[in-house]
Amino acid sequence: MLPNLDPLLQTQLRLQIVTLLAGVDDAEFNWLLENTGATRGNLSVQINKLKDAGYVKVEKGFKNNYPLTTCQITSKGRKAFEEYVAAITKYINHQQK
Amino acid sequence: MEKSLNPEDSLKVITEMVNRTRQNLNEGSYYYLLWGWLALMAAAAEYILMEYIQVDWHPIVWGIMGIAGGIASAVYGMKDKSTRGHTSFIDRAMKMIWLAFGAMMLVTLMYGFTASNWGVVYAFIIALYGMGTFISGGILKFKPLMIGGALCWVITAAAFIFSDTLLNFPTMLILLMVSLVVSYLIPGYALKNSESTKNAA
Repeated sequence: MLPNLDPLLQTQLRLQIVTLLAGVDDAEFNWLLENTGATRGNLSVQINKLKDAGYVKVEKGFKNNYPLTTCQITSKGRKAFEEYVAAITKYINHQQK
Repeated sequence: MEKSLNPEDSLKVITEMVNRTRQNLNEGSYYYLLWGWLALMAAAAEYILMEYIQVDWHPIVWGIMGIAGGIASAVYGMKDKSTRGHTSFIDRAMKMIWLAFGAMMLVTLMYGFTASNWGVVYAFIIALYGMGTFISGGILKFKPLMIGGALCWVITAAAFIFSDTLLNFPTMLILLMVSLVVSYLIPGYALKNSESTKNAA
């Protein structure tokens, strides 16, 4: 039986955010903006959804007197991402059979 | 309504983002080249001061090198962090390796000051930064750094085995310069070249 796919990671932008964060220790909002190609507003909304689910930790601070938002994947988020990768691999293998 | 990705599209998104993260990794050739050239110039200056000008205050070059390198590294590090927008496991690992190297070097220098056996101190310092470059190379999966680090151990071992001819001054300074070329400068330029190739990809 094929596993269910996590609906939270099944959208392009949220999957982009979680994949990027899984590869680094932490990342600034602008770096995520640059690498995802999303709009500022949409990125902010999706980060908040991931934060509410406990997948991402968000810290707000200042850099050179400008607001700075830094994001980090949580252990829950990393586990969800790994399970998502395992699930899509199963789907793809199943389709190829 | 958000559009759900199918497994194939999900895989494409993940692959693209992983590649972006990999391209963003900065492997730090700047530090190898900075410290390599600074230490090489300091060793050459000490050699000249010791051999030709014959002054007792020749070790001062290392203090000047440490201050210049420390300031340049700190300024570059702050600038780099603010422009890159993320930190990676590699950044953290490198910081720990070179902090440990710094601490070990201080302990080795203490031995030099108490036992006044500077030949042994220089030989151990060569082996210590060999360890730093070898581990860095292993983490970055970059062979020139690993080879350079291993060659430092060969140089230190040779200094101990042929201690009568090698473990004295100014010969140790020549060994130090050779070790800097093989463990910092050659791998540093190779790393710089590899970073440029990756950024162009």
